[in-house]
Amino acid sequence: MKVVVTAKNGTRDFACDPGEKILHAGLRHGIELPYECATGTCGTCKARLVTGRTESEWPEAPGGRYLKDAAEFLMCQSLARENCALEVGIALKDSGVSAPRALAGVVRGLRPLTHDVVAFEVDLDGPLDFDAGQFALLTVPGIAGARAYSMVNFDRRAERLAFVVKKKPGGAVSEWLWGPRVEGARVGLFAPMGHATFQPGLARHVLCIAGGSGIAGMMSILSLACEAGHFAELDGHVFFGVRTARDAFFFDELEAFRARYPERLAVTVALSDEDVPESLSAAYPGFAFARGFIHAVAGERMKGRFAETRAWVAGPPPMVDAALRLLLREARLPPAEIRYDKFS
Amino acid sequence: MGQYDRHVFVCTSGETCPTQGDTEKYVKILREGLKKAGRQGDVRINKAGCFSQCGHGPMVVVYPDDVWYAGVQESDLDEILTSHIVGGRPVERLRYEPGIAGPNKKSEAELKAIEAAHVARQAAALPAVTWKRVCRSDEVPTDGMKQFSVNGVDLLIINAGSEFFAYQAVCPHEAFPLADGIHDGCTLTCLEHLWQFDLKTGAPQGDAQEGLRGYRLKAEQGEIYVTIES
Repeated sequence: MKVVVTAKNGTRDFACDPGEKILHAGLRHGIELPYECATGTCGTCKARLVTGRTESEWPEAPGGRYLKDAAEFLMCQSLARENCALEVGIALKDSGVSAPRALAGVVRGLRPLTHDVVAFEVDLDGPLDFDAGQFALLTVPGIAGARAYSMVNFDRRAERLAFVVKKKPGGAVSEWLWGPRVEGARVGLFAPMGHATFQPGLARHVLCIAGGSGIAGMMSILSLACEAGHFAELDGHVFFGVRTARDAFFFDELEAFRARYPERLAVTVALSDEDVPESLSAAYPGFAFARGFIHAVAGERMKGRFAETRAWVAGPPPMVDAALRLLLREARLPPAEIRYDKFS
Repeated sequence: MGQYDRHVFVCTSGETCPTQGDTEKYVKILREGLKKAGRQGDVRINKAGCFSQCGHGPMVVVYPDDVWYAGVQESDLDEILTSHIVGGRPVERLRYEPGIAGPNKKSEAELKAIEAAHVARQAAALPAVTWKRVCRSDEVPTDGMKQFSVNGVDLLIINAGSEFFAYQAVCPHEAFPLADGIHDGCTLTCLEHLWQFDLKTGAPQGDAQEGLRGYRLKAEQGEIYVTIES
């Protein structure tokens, strides 16, 4: 099927395979169709059908609340049933990231990190290049729909992608991951996705504000930034919020990053639901600890130190919103210096 | 002997007379009156330029009697017409006799005041703007913003401390509610994708590709009103 997209800055066309989501087809051809979550929630990928026929694989997708009428649809959930002409209400930009593609791999190394967070890797059938901070759409055979997870690792020509997933009650993929037949299972991927990336050589201090499993993409960014020597010249501030000490994970990995650049790279952990146990602060003497919401702690400790800084934000939506308010209002960072992808 | 028994001049294109009365209309009224009296053949009503008596208008001059009238109101025209132009008896109460010969303009300040009064009358004559009440001013916290619906139109009312603004309620990008965004008194930011807008004009800033539709707003006696054109 041929799909023609008219945007404010011109018209592009691409081929869409049967069974392929229109968003995936466009992105795979290097056409930067608008999207954010790519999983039916945020409404960013909405388009208007001018001619042809599309079909949504998930008509009840929550992102549907952003559609104005029956001619609008979510490209991330829809297939082209005929040649289609579409309109998107914005100008298409050059994203500067690699075009994603469909690939597959096998789940390896599944292990719990806390009572409700697991880590695992996917051994890819073929290598994949991605930018630090990007995510992949993961599909599990027998479960409808894709889930978005940020890559934890950073490798060029990666043969393995690392993920962390927080258990979500009632979530089909989440329940599958806590089930019996995960190790060795084949999964589908569409990657790399997302715009909240870090590029080496950036002349900015790095500020990471993460809540819970939102730390995943930050790990990838820190991995690349450490490898590229970023913190030899510029500062890094990592703020990681979890509820309680038993929700803590990746502390050893964060300490390893910090220990490589102890002068410049600082890690602050905030517990929102309890006072910081002495055992925890004693185990990580290189970290700063605080009780409170991570955005509030970051706002307090970064006061007056936001100049020349680029910020990455990830976590539960209320935390992301609160952090964006902090960065725009208190820190007065221009939007171009704030990177985040909203998926929830 | 000239061409007409009487020759009447009405200042219609001076700088001040036409702002002190609708002198074009005076010409029409006088001509109609002459016609009714059957005198349109031997009296001529002319539109005239400035008599250099600015501020004393609207001014009407009748020759060969050499009678000048100042401050002529529309309601005076009938008397001038029947008594003087047709009947030959000047209307004494309207006579202009400043006591000096030649040009006699009022001071700049007085002329400015006349002009200002004219502008105010014109504004008052415009079709009445329909103001719709939105809310009490104190329903929108200082430096905050809130969404309201007026006549089925969703509006964002912004309190910028010293001033209120009214805009469309949702971001032109993805229809995300702007009330969930933030503003700092200068810039309004949608938190969904960080599109930004000038708070005072609604103009797009940075990544934003479209501006916001604004509405006229007035805050009066603790209430906020907007105009919504259909």
